[in-house]
Amino acid sequence: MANSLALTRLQEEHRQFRKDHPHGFFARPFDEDGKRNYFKWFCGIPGKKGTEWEGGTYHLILEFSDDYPTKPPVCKFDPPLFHPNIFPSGTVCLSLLDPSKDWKPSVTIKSILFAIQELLASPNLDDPAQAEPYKMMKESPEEYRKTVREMVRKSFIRH
Amino acid sequence: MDNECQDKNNIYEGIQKCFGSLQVVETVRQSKILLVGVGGVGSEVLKNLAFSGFVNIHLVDLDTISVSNLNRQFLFRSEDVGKWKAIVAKERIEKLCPWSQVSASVDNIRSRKFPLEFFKQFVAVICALDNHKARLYVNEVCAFAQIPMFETGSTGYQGQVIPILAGSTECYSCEPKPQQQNEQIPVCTIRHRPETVEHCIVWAMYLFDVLFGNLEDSNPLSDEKDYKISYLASDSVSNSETKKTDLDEDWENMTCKRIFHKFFIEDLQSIQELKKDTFLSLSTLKIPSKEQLNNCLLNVQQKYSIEELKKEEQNPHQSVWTSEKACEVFIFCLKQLLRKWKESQSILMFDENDTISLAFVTAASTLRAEAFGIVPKNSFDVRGAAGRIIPALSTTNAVIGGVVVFQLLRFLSGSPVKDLYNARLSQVPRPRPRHQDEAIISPEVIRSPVEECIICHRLILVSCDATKVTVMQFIEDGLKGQLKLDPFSVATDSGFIIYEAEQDDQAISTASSSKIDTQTIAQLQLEEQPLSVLDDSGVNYRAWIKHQCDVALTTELIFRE
Repeated sequence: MANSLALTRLQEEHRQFRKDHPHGFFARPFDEDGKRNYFKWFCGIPGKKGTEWEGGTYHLILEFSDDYPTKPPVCKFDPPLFHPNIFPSGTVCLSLLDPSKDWKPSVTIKSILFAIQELLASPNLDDPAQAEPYKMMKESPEEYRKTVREMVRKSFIRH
Repeated sequence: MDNECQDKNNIYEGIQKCFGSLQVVETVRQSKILLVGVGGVGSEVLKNLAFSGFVNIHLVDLDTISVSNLNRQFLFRSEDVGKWKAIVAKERIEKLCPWSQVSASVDNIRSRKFPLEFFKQFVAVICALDNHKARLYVNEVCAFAQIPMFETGSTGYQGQVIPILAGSTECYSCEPKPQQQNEQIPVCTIRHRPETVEHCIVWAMYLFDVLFGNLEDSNPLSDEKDYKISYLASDSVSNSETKKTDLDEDWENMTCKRIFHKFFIEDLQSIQELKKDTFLSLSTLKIPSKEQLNNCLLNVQQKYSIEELKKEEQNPHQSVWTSEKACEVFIFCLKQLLRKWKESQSILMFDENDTISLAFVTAASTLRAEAFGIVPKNSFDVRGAAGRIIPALSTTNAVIGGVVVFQLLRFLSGSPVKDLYNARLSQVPRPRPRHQDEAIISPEVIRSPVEECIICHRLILVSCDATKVTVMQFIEDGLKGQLKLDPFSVATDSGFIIYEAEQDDQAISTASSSKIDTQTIAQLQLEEQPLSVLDDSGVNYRAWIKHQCDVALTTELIFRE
């Protein structure tokens, strides 16, 4: 790793995010035993109000390569979420994160997080990544929403 | 001995005549030059330096000599294969030019073993590297050391020489380089430790050439010529008297088996053996079994068709082949190619638009990627990646090697770097400035540094005793106190965060903040490498901590207007 382009960009993203970030979101370099590295970030996305995801904050790991920002980061929910566009491994499937589709080097970390928040609320059924939620969403959207709401309540909201 | 002195004197006489001064001869005799990379261009440069009368030359190269180097890296002989380039080059050139005193390091130029002081002993650095990262690094170190660097490059018929003095001329970092897809991949990477799927694809294409193609010396697998199909065929004919003319199915099966066994079982096993102690991650190669191979041989004929493979290669969303499928497709394609070869009795050229060739390369690269734990690509993507491979031409290297040493001589004769020229070699002649004609080597006026370039404008040079100064002192006394910066964060190039301004939203990890309070720069191994500093105002700097025993902390900005 020598090309400082990825690094300087990540430093600047970090500064920008710290200065001004949307309510409920967080994003910062990942902490591993007190050692933090700019190429791996730990982020949190709040569920959008008025959707079945409301009330929880969903944890996400972003991994950047040397080729960032030419190439997008890999975004992975940890733990994985029950959602048609999230692979069972937790990796998010989104055209914004695909260099051959909508990814542009100018896309900021903030806009990635916003786009993923939006994706949670409105799944894209043309591009399924996880079979069970996809089937359920397609066959009975109401049941899907109920299942999600139940999961959110159980695992993310403490009473 | 007399002849030798004669040679040497002739050289100095030549330089004196060329530049019209005795002073230049003296300068050449005394200047220490650092040559980074002794490959294609580097061999030419070294020869030219020595025969121009340079005495003190230091070589740095981390690579060993392989068969594929021999066609153009003329300092090396076939008996040198496997030896270190830097060492052999030193021995050869000292024999050729007894007046030269060459020293050599077998190491990555980016190693922290080369501190700033090491670079500062040279009058100039010639960069004859094959990759972008190392060039960026040398460019940056030379900027910190404030010595001129002569950057060279050669791809196919194109080449360039760019003299750089950061802060005064456009440097290698001034223009962001486009993503380099065509970067030459080191041979050892291709043969022994592929890191990306591209390395596996390139290897698969070379394999195609070994078996069916025009086996060129530049092929990193060229020492496997025993596996050329023509050779295997003649071998089998001479071995079995009965089947003199007919290369039947048995032969096909036997050949497939032999090739598969050699390149996907035997070779991988030997890599595993070879690297067992050095590369821990390699100890778990996924090597196909003989049973798998035998199963494939039995049932591939019914399973695949050219039409089907063609359909697949046109689908970008096609899923990546499993190793079972890759194994079967490999055998299937190999058989098809054997028949094609048998019919034409002439070499086959790899063509990414030919379904069978493409499927062959896809299958071979998939098997190799799987073995090394790399994610393979589907045939649609392999076609995209396989379309570009650039040859290395010795003539290009020779021209570049000549131009760069001449530029160096001009610099030593007193021309400031900014008054030299960038030289571009192209396949098609281009108009020369201030002339009515066209030339394939065209000079370009050297431009000024780009305004936003960090390397040209915002370098922070720190001198201190790294074993005594703590990281916090470097931040507080150096960056904040002496330079009046308000750093937001400081990180190494590998992304490790050394320092970060207090966070208000989240409690900062106490472990890392207390560490920098008490630990010295040397304890965290932060000296003698570039660091990235972001000021709270959003301005980026690069910093270098130079270790000097018993020196108090001093921090200075270089090249700031």
